[in-house]
Amino acid sequence: MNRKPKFKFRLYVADNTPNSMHALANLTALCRTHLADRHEIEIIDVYKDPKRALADGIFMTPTLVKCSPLPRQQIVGTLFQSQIVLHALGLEDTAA
Amino acid sequence: MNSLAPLSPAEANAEIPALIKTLLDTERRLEELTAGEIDTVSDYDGRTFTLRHAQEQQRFTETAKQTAILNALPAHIALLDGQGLIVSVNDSWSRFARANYLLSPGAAMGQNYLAVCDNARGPDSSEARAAAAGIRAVLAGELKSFPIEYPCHAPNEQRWFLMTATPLSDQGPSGAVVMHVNITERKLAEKALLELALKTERRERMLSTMLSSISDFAYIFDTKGCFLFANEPLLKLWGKSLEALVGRNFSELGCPAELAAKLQWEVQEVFATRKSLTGETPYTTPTGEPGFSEYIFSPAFAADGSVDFVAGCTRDISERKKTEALLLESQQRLALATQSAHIGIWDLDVAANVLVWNAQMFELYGVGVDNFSGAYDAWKKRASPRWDRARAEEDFASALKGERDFHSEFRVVWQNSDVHHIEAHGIVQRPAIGPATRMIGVNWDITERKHAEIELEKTHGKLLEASRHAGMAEVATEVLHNVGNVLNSVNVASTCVAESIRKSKSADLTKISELLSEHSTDIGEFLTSDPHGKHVAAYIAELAAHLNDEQASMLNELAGLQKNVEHIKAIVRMQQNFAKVPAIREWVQPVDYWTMR
Repeated sequence: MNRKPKFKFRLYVADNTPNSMHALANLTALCRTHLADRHEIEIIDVYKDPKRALADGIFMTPTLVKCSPLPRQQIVGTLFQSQIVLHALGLEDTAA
Repeated sequence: MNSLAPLSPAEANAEIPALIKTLLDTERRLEELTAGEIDTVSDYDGRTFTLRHAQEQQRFTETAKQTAILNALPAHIALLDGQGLIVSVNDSWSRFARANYLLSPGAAMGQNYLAVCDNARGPDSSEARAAAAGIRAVLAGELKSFPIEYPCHAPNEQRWFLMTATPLSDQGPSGAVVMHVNITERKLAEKALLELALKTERRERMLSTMLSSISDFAYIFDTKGCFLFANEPLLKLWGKSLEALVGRNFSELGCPAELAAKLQWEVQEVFATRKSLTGETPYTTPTGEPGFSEYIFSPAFAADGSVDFVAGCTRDISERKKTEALLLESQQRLALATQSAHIGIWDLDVAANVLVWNAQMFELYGVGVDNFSGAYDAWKKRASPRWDRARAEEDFASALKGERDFHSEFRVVWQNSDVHHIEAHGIVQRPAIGPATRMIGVNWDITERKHAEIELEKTHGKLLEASRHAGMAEVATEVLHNVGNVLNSVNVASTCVAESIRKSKSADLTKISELLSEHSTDIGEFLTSDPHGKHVAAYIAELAAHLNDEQASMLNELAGLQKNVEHIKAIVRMQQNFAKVPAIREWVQPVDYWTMR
C-alpha cells in the first residue's frame, strides 16, 4: 500500500503585516495545488504568542517550518518563488 | 537591569541623532539581508521588532480599513474635537450634508457642529438644541453617551434620525464621535406596529366581548395544557379572574382528578395529532345538580405549520340530553308500536331524492337493506306496474302538489312472486313558499284485508243470488195464495153459473118449439082453439121473462167472474213488479271482475 505522506506546516506571522499575508496566501495556494487533502497548516502570530516563536527558534516573520515528513525544514520570506520553495521542501517530485 | 544615567539636555541632543542613524542603518541592513521579505525580527529574549515598512503598511492598512468601514456604514459619522469642530466625516455624512444643504458642500470639515445645532431654525429646532446640549455634556465628560431621536422631514418624505454622541476617548475630554442613523424605517415600522397593536387590541376586545356574550364556554390552552384565555361565562362559573386562570391547568383549577387527567390528555392529543377532538362529559353544578356538556378542542396553527395553541368550546347540553332521552324513549315506543302493528315508516327528502325506510318497510316489501338504493325509484321498482302503481304515483304526485293528502293502495310483488297489498299514507312538508321538501309516511300490509274483501264480495254475490231465488219463491207463494183466494170466488161464480144453466128453462123453449112444429099446419087454430094451444102465447111470454131474468143473473155472475180474472191478472202483475230486483251498481277492475267470477 503506497500511501503518500501528509505534510504538516507551521507558519509564523506577525498579525496582518504584508509579507506575512503574502506568505500565507502563497503557502495556501501551493498546498492546494500540490498537496491537496494531505496537508495541515498551523499559523502562529508572534505578536500574540512570542514565547512559542522563541521556543521554536524563530527570529523572523514570516517563517515557514515543515514539521513532517522529516527532515524538518525552514524557509523565511513570502514564499512567492514556488519552484524554489518546492525544491526547499523536497516537493519537486510532487510538482512534476 | 541596567539603568541609564541621567543626561543633560546637551548630551541628549547630541546622542539622539546618533541613535536614530544607528536605528536606520540597522533597519536598512536587515532589509538587505532579507530582501525586503521580512516583517519582524526577534532577539534571543523574544522581543519582537517590527520593521518600518511593515509598520507603515500596517498603519496604512488599518487606516484604510477603518475608513472603508466608516464609509461603508449608512450612518452619518463625524468626529468633533473638544470644541465641537468637525475634524473628520465619513462619506455618508458628506453626502447627506450636500443633499440637504445643511452645510455647504465640502465645508463640513472645520465647521462647529454645536453652533450649527444651536442656530437651527424651524419645527425641529428644539431637538437640534437638545442635541447640542447633549454633545456638550459628552465633550465635558458628563455623559458616556447621549442618544436622541428626532424628526427631520423632507418636503416629500418623512424621516427620523437617531443621533448618538460618544466620547472619543475615555481619557478626558478630547472630542466626540457624532453619529446619525436613519431610523425612518424603524419609526414607520413602530408606527405601523402601534396601529397594528391598536387594531389587534380592538380585535381582541371585540373577540373577547363576543365570546363573553355567548353562553358557551370558550377558552384557549398553551402547549402545556394551561389556560391562555377564558371567556366571561367560564370565569363566572369558576368564580375566578382571567389573571387567576391563565397559566393554570384543569387540575390546578380544582377540576376532579379523573376528569382533569382526561381533558389534559385530550388537549395534548390535539397538539400531537393536529386534529380537532370532540367529547362529552357529565358534570355537577355548584348547586349539586347533574348536568352534561359537550366540548371541542381545535388546533390553531402557527405560520410554520406547528400547533400554536388549542382553542376549545364547551356547551351545556343537559336539556338536549334530556330531550334526546325523551326522544329515544319515544322512538323506541314508536318502533315497538310500528313493529307490533307491522307498520313501516318512510321518509323522503324530495329535493335530494333520498328515501329512508325503517326496518319494517323492508319486511313489507320483502327486500333486504342491501338491495335498496334509497331513492324514490327504489320504491317504484317494488310497486307492481301490472296493477295499480300508476294510480299510486298519481296520488303521490297530487300530494306533492298539495292537491290532497297522500293516501293510496297498491300491490307489490316480492321476489318469491307473492303479491302483497300495501296501504300508504303520508304527510307533506313544505316551506311557506316553494315546492314540497319532505314527505313522511307509513305503509302497512292490507293483503289479508283485501283477501277478506274479495271473499266478502263473493259472499255478497252469493247472497244476492240466494236472495233472488228466495224472493222468487216468496213471490210464487204469495201469488198462489192470492190467486187461490180469487180462484175460490171464480169457482163459486162458475158453480152458480153452471147451476143456473143446469136449471135453466131453456128446455121448455125446446118443448114449445116442438109443440109448435107439431101444429105447424094448423098453427092458427091451435093457438086459438086448442086448450093447450091457447096457453102457449102466455107461456112463451112467461118463459121469455124467466129467461131474461136468468140471462141477467148469469151476466151478473160472469161479470163477477171477469172481475175475479182481472184481479188475478193484477195480482200476477203486482208480484211481477215485486219480483223485479233493483240493479246494484259495483265498480270493479276487469281483473277483479274475472277474479270474482
